[in-house]
Amino acid sequence: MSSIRSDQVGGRIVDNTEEVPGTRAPLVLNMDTFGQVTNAVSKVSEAGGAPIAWYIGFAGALGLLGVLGFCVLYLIFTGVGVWGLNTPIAWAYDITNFVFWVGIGHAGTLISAILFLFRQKWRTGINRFAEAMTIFAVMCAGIFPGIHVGRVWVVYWLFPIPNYQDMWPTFRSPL
Amino acid sequence: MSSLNQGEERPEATGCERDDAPAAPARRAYWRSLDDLQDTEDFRAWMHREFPSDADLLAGEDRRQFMKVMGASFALAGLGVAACRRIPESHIVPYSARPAGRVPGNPVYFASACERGGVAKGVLIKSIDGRPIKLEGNPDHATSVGACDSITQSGILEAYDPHRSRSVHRDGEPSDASAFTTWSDQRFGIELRKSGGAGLAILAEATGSPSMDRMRADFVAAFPKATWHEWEPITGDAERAGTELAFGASYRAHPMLDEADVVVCLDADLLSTHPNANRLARDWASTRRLDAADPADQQLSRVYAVEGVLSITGMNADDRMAVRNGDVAAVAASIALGLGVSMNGLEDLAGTATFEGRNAEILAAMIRDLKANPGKSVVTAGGGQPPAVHAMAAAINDALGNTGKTVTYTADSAPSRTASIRSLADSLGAGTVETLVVIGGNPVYDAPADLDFATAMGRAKETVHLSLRANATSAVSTWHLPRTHFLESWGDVRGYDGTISVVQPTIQPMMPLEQKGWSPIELLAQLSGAEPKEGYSIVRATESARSRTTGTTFESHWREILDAGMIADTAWPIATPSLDAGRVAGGVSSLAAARSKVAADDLELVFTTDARVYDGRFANLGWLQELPDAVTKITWDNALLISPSLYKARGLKTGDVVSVKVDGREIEAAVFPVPGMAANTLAIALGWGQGADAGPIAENAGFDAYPVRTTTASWIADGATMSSTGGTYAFAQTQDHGAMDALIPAVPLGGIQERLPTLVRETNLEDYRTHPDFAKHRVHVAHRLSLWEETNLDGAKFRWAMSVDLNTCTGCGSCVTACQAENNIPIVGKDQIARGREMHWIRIDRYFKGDDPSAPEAVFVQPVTCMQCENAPCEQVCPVAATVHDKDGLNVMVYNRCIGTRYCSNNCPYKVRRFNWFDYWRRDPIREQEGLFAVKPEYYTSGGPDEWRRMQMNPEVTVRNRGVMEKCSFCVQRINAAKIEYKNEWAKEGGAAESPDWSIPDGVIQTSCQQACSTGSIVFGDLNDPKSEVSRLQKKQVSYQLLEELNTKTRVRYLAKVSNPGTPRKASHDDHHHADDGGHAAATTLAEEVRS
Repeated sequence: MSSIRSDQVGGRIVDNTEEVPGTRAPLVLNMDTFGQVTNAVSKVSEAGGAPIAWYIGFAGALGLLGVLGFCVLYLIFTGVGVWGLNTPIAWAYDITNFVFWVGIGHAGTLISAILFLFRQKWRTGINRFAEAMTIFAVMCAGIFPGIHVGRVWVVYWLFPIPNYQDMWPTFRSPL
Repeated sequence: MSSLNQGEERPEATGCERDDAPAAPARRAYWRSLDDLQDTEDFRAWMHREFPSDADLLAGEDRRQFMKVMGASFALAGLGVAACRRIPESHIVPYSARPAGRVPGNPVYFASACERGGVAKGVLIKSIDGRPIKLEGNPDHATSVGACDSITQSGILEAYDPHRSRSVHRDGEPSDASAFTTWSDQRFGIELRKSGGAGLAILAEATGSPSMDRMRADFVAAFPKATWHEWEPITGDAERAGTELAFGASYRAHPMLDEADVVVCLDADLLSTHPNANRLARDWASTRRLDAADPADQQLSRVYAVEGVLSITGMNADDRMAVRNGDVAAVAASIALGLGVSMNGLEDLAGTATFEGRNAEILAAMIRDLKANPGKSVVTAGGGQPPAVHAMAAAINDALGNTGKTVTYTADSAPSRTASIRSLADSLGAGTVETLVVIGGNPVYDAPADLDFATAMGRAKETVHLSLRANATSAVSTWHLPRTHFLESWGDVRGYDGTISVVQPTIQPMMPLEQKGWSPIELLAQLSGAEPKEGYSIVRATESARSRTTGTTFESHWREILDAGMIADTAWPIATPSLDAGRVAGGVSSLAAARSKVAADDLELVFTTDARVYDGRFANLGWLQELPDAVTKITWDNALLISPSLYKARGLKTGDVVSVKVDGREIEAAVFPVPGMAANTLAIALGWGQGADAGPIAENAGFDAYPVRTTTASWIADGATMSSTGGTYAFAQTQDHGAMDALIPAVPLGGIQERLPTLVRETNLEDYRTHPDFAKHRVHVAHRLSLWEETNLDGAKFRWAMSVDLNTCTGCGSCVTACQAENNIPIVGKDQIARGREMHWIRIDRYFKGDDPSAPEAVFVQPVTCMQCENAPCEQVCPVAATVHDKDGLNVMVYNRCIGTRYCSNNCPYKVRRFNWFDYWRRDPIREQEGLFAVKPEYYTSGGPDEWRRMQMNPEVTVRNRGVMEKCSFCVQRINAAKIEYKNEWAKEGGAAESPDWSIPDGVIQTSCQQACSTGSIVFGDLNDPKSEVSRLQKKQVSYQLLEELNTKTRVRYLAKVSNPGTPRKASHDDHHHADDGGHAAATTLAEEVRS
């Protein structure tokens, strides 16, 4: 710390692109306090509120979610027959939807993984997007094995939960 | 040449032009239905589509429809709560002392009988804790021979039918029994008695009841001027008129199929709709089993069927001539001529039709075989044939010396029912009948159309109608009286051979006390003022008089007959009538004159007796509605059956609504092509198309044929015309459901063709004699490796198994209903069947053979149920272990563990698992689904199944709720009941100290399907017992497994079919000859397969 360095002005680091061995470059420049950092980050989402279009879009999305909720409840209260399945074709909407959403999820993981493996520095934004897609797609996919069974209320029997009857799932079943 | 090669010879098959109208028949050896044969778009779509038809329930209707439906259902729901529902009277009264021998929960059996069309079938009523829950055949009864057809079994459902009439109605308004009694005391007791019954007429159903005869005599004595009439839509008139023509007096013919080597059925459906069908089927089966010690000596009887409409008998015949029903007379005449019977008119009659090609071959073979088998053959005519054909059959039997050997006669003095109802309609029309009493039946619906019975009945001042259900006749009657069911009342009936049975009640009439409920004898006793008035006393008095016993002798006699279910030695004496050839000739000549007016290409409309709803009286019974018709596989409907050639010529499509006109009368019906129909025959089953008063299940099911049925054309109406109306109708048919031959959507036709002969393995008798192991050659099992460790069943005490004999299975469907009754299988409704969701644990597959859809060479039927695989594919995939093996090797279904993933069903190669898509047990079957969100959770659309229907359920079998998989359990409740009983016995006798182990004798456990089967095709037993029947059958060379190549090790096995055609037919023995190296045995190893 004895010499004056070109990336420092008055002791404050103003340029963090230069590598100084033994010294970690600061991540944030020109910010003195945590408050300043917080402001800078939060301003993006908090300043000015959401535009009207956002509310409209959100209402639409919520409405669709409501349709899903209604249909799932209708399904649960009425019986899986409402899907129009029959005996040789015992799985149709459920497995199609499951596979569809799992496929979407796979795509997200793939994008994120490829970018990571090739060490693309610009990947972060896309990765966030892709990984969010994966998470939500898996959540969507996860609904279907749950609600496709005839007796939804006992679907937890699919999991190896210890119980006094010593009943375990058949691990050999691909399900 | 072999069927296996055929598929390969036609690579164009998948790419050929397809049309819904029958295309040029592809060269396919075996096919399941016309759609399959033509490989129509519809069929492929059904087989290969991931989403079945109308998968999207939410599609379609608009908001208004939605509001309407919801509004209506909420309104109804409100009504349901508000309106008072009649709850069955129930008393919970504990026994202060337990009656001897009565263990609560243990079934008690009562021997009784039920009557249909004047012929009784002996039954055993299984009653648990006071509730009759199942009907089984009485093995000692000559007519039912221990079997129980679908209609008889549905008697249980009929008794508990929620839509049964349970109250007296006067002019449509609710009334009660005392009001009727007051009225009848005045009208019958005073006024009519004074006038001697002037203006009084009775219209009764056919019955053989001795008590009814006695009551009738009392009634006629009380009202000497009254007239008595009898009506049955399934008249049976032709046989009586025919025997009268032949012998001068009317007789009932009793063919003895067990004595005959050659049977010719002239439009006679001996195996299904004949009143004595159970007995006839059993006798026929006894001549069809492959039980010769040396296959080279195997003999089989030969059955020829001559008919225009494919019947169960026709399906099972060795050779079948498809001719118009009207031309059957010409066939009969040709046979008579061929046998050298000389009679005037025979040549004229034979000349009214010409037979070519295969028909001519079969006719020649028939004559040849009859000639060769005098005294060992029988010719029978069906109830739908004119009297002259019956007379000719009698003459042919007489000429062959069959009378007394293979056919006997008993006197039958019943009147002509057609003439009887005609005279009633005439007197009603003339206004001479003031008071009409209709005992049973529904003449307004089913009387001949030319009588216009509804109008005629309106002319009577007062009408009284006794019936189980308030039907169309009740609606126009002054008084409607609720009739007691045969499970609720005393009575007596006669079997086909005349044996008397006593009908005993097993439950109180299920109606309020103030409504009483009458049996026909009780009503007659009340009207004629005879004493005693209770059914019990009437029947006892009749029997006391008949047996000439009284006091304690009578009491012990009475106990005996109640126990046996019949009175010994009461069969009618066998008559030995002598033929009057002159009279026959007269009948033949007049028939020849009538037939000569019919051109060869005239259409005829044939009325057939339905094996489900009979004449229409059973139309409101869901079991029967849902039972697929044995021939067409249609459920919930009848159809106008037409031949594929006519269908093609007219450019019709299945379900097109046509109008059929006969003599200015008209009906509309949807067409359905049936292979094997005569080219110019239209056929429609009676008893369908009833209105709302027939009950919600019967309402609008099928098409009513009665409006064109007249007294002169009761069975065959010549000169019919058919024109399209442009409408269409959807049938719910099960044939292509559960097809095992197209498991993989991409499987080419060649692949299906390769698989079909392995599913139903058959050959003819010559081939069987030289290749008795033919069934083992149909498939080559490459290896026996299992992906998983197989269930270890070593050391199992029992190894339950079943053998199904395809040689004797007629495909009648009794087993399906028996299974439904025993196992509480719900009724799902037409809509659900159309979606492929039938719940029957047994399905009966049907395959046609031959390359001409109009004249299939043969038809095969195959009941398929859970195969109880030892190496079960379903068990591997269930995530929650809800289907597992028990220690006897049964593949059991644990309902309360099942969560309904349906994975087992997906993995079942036989497609025999059934899933409860909805709470079927608590909802009413739905005919057609309409509207948005039309499917509703049952607990807010209905209060669950009717209280009455709940009583019908078998308490020993779980009623499955929604979301649970189910399937055949081998009637595990019966197995366990027997185990408990025998183990208890063993323990009582000292247990291990006295005998090392306990056992259950072979034959003690009968599955429900086995019990109902009249031919004994189904045999159940223990493979661990080397002497058991099932062990013996499964060791036969003709025993085979379905889809053996999948290494499922099925416990259900089939005995391959061997037919005995009289005309040359290609042996379907395939040419995969490994016979020299012996490597074709079931256990061909993988290495061997690779080498070859």
